[in-house]
Amino acid sequence: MDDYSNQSPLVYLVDDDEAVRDGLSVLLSSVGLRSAGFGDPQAFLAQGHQYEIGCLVLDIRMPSISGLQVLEQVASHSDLPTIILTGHANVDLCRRAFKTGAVEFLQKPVDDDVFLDGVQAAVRQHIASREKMAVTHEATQRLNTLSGREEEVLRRIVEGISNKQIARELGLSPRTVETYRANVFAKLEAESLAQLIRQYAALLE
Amino acid sequence: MSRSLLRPALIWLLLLLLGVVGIALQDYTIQRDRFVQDTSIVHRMLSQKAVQHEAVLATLSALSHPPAPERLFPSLQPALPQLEAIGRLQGDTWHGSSPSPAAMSGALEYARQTNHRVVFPGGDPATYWLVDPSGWSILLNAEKLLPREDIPHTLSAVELSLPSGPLNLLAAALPQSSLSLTLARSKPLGAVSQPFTLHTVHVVTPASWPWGPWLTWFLTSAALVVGWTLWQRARAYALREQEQSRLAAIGRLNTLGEMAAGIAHELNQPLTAILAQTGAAQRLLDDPDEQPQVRRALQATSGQARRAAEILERLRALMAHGTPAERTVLDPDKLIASLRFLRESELTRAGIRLTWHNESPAARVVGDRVALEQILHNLVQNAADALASCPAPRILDIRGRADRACYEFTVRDNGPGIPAETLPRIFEPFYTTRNQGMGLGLTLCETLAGTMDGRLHIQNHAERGVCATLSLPLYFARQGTGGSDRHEEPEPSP
Repeated sequence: MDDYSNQSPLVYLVDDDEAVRDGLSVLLSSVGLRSAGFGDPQAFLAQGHQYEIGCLVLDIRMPSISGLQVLEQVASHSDLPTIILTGHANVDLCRRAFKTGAVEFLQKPVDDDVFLDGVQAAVRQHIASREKMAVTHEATQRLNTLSGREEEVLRRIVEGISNKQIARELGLSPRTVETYRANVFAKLEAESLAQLIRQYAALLE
Repeated sequence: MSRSLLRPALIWLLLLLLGVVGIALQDYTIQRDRFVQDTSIVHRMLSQKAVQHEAVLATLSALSHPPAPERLFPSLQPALPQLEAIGRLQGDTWHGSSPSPAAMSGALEYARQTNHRVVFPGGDPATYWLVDPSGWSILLNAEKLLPREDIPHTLSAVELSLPSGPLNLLAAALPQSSLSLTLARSKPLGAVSQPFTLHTVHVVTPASWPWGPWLTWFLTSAALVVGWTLWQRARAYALREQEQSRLAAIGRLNTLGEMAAGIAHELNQPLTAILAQTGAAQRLLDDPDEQPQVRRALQATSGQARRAAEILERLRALMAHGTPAERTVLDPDKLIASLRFLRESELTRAGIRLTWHNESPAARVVGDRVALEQILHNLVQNAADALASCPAPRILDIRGRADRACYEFTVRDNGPGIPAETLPRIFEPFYTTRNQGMGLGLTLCETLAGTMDGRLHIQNHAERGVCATLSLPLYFARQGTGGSDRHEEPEPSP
């Protein structure tokens, strides 16, 4: 089960109409996507913002709380991509949805192909952002293995300062700086200066 | 406008008249009572004086050694200012403060015969002699009986009929006016020897009319009528507002837009479900293992299609009144009166003159009041909209007439009319030439006319403008059973 969940993305369906949730759920399962239906948007929010890989399909007009409010909370607490699916599409609503962070805006009744394309695009986007996050996470961990001196040297390398200059600034011999430099490249698994800068410049501060 | 002011004006006039008469009567009563009271005061004072004269003579005649009249006069005079002279005839000899009058002996003769005191005129018209059988006599001046200031000023004239003729105790002349009202009283004085008649007069002149209370009432009644009229107007206005909101509520015309939005939302849900289920079914169709899933998807689809049909059925039930139209007997004049009441002020503001001619005033129509009102309101609204962009005069002419088994309302305006290409489509649902319109007004009118076995016909008038004709079944008084036949007619058909 756990293994399966790691392979198949999960689509969260938030719509107060049971028939709509069932129909979309069947459609998603026909292309091998799992879904979790929520008739009450409050119940959906109550489960916290730890989402699996996948996306959120959200209705706008629902009792108790508007879809836009749900979108706002999800967008500010997580990276889950959200598709708005509503029967009351208008320009203003569409603009507000995109501004709040929706990735797609679909109108009911929606064509099955359009819907599935939208969901798949959103899921792909989620996977991509998660991967990027994973890479960043690893780089951060490697960065943490550097000693204080090594990090000082790295900062100056990224700034484009020469070894001689670094040695003068830190009060070290150029040879010692050379050693730190080699350690930094080894610990951060960087093969070239260009890769080092691309991967780690943004992570320093 | 003038008619609405005439009624309060008449009411005010009536109120004013009643008040003025009431105040005048009350004031007259007060003045008369005071006059009667003042008259009796004067009468009492004069009678007391007359009785005093008798007492003086009785006292003198009772004395065995009476003083000489010449000496007596100055001592009596200060107490009796009206006393002019005093004297005594003893035998043929006259002793007195003045010379003996010629008629004295005759008068004494008569007094002795009757054993009563008698009077006869003195030399002056204001004086008279009072003669006692004992021979004692006094000359009295009637003008000095009462000091002028003791006579109440409410009396316009005070007259005393003396032996020498009537004497006016007040020198003033009677006020003369064609508008004055005269009160008069006559009564003899309460002294046997001097039964002179006292005659008093009170003249009610315009100056003494109750102008103050009248003015107060004039203002009060005017304020009352103005207040009442304003209150009536406010009440009529509130009533009109209430009626309008009632009509709007049952009219549903305004809520149609909202209803349509609701219907759209309602229909979107099953349609979304249907599209999703059929989409899934198509994807799974080729995989034999997925057959049960396809079956479930198709079952769900038909379930959602039924749901959509139910929504439409509910809408139709709403549009068609839910229940069959009521059949009641209605008076066209009253229907139009209610229509005018609700719309006239609004039409007047728009510069539209609404006219109504009923060629068959006795005729009655059979229909549902609410539905009929709704159709007429809608036709009037359409005409008003058409006239809004027209130059004056803007005329909205409604006519009614009975024709064989039908009663026809025609609503005609002198607006631009309906373009020829639009005319065939006016009853089409959702067809509209206006930006704000739903395109359901005339559709609804036609449906409502149909539920009452009536017909709505709209055409351009030969001259100009639109002419809408609504024909409804005519009511025949003898057809007590005929009406119920019509009710039963549609029932066997299903």
